[in-house]
Amino acid sequence: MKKLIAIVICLALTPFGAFAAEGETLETLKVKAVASSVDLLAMEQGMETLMENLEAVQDKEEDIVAAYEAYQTYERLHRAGAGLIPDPNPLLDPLDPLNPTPEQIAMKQAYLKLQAMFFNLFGIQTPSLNDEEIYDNFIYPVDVLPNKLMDQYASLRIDKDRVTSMLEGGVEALWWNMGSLDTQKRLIEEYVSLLQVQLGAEAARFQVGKISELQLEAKRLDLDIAMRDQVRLDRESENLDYRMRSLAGLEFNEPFSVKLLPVTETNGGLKTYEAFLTESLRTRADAIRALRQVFTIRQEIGVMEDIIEDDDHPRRKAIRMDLLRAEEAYEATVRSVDAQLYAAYDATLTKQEALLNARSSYDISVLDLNRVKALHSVGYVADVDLIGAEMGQKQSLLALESSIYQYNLAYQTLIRTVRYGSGTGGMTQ
Amino acid sequence: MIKRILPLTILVLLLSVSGAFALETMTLDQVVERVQTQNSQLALLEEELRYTAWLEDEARDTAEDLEDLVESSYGDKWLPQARLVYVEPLKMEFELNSLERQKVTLKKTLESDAVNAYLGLINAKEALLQAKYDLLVAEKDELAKKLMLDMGRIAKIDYDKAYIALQQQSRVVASYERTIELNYIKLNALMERTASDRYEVVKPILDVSLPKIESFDMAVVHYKENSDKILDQVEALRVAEENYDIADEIADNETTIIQAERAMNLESFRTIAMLRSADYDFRIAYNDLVSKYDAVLTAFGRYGLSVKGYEIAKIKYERGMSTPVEFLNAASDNESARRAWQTSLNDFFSARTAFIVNFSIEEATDDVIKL
Repeated sequence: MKKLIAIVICLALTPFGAFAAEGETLETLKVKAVASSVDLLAMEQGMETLMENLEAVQDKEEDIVAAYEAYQTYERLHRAGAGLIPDPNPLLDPLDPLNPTPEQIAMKQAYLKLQAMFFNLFGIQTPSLNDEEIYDNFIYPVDVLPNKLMDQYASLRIDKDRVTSMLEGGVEALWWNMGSLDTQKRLIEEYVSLLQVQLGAEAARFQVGKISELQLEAKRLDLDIAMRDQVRLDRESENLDYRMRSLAGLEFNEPFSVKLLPVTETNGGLKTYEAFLTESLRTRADAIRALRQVFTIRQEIGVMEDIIEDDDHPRRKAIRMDLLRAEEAYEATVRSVDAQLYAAYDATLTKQEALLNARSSYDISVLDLNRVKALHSVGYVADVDLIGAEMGQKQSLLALESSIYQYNLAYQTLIRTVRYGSGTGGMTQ
Repeated sequence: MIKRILPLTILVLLLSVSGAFALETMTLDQVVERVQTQNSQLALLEEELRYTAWLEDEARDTAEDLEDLVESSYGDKWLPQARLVYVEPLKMEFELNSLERQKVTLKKTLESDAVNAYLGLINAKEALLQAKYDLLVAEKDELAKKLMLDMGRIAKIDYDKAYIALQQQSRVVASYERTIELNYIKLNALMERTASDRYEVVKPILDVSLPKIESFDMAVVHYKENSDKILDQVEALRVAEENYDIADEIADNETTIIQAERAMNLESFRTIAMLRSADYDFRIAYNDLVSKYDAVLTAFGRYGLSVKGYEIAKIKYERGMSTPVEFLNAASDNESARRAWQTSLNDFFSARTAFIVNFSIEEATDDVIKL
């Protein structure tokens, strides 16, 4: 077993020229993620298999149609009494009225041939198939099964598109996170250096008895925590890198780098809730699939009604039940789309408001810093207070960056919910 | 002075030891041992193992019986029999291997679940203690506000706020009492004890140490060679290869061979993807664990500072420099900081256990920091 694993590991580690992964852009990573997805490959193969099965069903279609026509002839001949026509008596003249006519003989021969054929196929001596057996053997494989296979194929194609979009959405979310973390890392670095300067000043104030030991210790703890945050961001950044490489199907030892752009706010205002809901019901795979299911069953009911005429037949009752369930499932899907969308829309609006607040706070901190700088330049404010104002401004900037990131994330989640449903791709906060 | 110190300090002490009745005591080690020996999932798995071993014997017998027949046959119609001869015994063997592995993993998972449930119960008990502190503060505040209202010093709305805060705090206490009940039920279910069993739990000394990893590359290789899901996948690939070999040799329909080859290629692709992902999964999980380790250190630092703040508040109160409400607030803040530290410690400990189980880490020893 270990040998086998070793072989597979070697295979997995073999570098592919097509996967050189330096200077990656968002688009190249999306392409790689799609190309290396096992789920997508399974779906593609499932589609190929379904297509082969459909072809096999279509190949048999002519034979089944011919068999049904033969069965109808068999029924007609049986009703005409072909099975009761006596064999010709060789002792009598062929034109003797007691002997069957040549037409009757031909009818009997045809009847016997069909009898042998259907005995081989279904083990019946007379055309005694009931409506249900006729439906299952002649109608269902020709009029319903190909449609069902086509439906499954279409459903898989929808799934494939959905998974593709989810993968692309996942790459995009990671990309955003990488950009945002990059900015946060830069800002926290500046914040830590300011804290270090401030700690020096606080130590001096402690020496001259202006602050207590506890206050100095609290400041030291602030610095420790900020430095740990700095290391935590490095680790998070490393993890994002790993997640991106894993999603893009890159080998661990392959060199990897990305061309990140600074994080900017997602452009464009929010559409109305009603507009999003309409778009969602038109594009989401679960809604489309649920609706298709209703149509497929309705089509099958139409075909079945022509053959099984008894309205109370168990099959008719069962398929009516299936239709009810499918309709109920569609309605549940619509309700679920509505609920998920409402939550995502509400979250986006909340983050938008938080972003506005963070921006206002940042603007105030900038004004404050400018005021302190002016006062510092004429000797009215101490160095330590200037550092405090600079730190305040850095903190506001960090909060603003974080709000932009949170808003972008909420907006992306909203768009993903509109297109694919909640819980697809990206990261949760 | 004595009058001031006694009532509140005794109350704080009483709160700290409340619930310490003469109940049976169960330590974490005892809980883990009981879970690993008494849990019904293990018994079920043992039974499944015996049944699968019997099925494997049956599959081998059937394969021997059909071997001659299959060797001289050709065509799609013989595929089911050929699978009985060549694939089924292999599948049963792998099934048995997988169950053996599941047994080992289940024991580790049960240990991890027991640790989580035990720590969850301790957390809930501590949360109740904290909620009782807050209730005491709310009661005192409501009394004070009532007096002030009677004296005409505050508006009715201010008293109402205090009254509502008191009601809310009572509900918080009730909610933590329910959480404790739920945690007992969870732990009892794991130990196969009746839901109503009650016992004392002892806060374990949790060591804060990261699993010792000499080399990430070696650790990942070890994980790949021992991970249940990877071994299951490698065996699934082996079965798919066998299926393809049979189809290639016996089937007369080209589509059957193509579909078997397709299934084999998919399993191969899946195996490669899983092995590739293992490199990343291991390192991501380790980084997350280190972040939890850092969170413990941060929370411990905050708690240290809070203890000093509490000591100062106590001295101030004892010397008549602050009110009982202020002192209780400081005690509550200190308890919050202690709980935050304890929660981070429990989180880390649970995450470390999960990491060791999920990534087939054999030992977890390093420079141990006792906090």
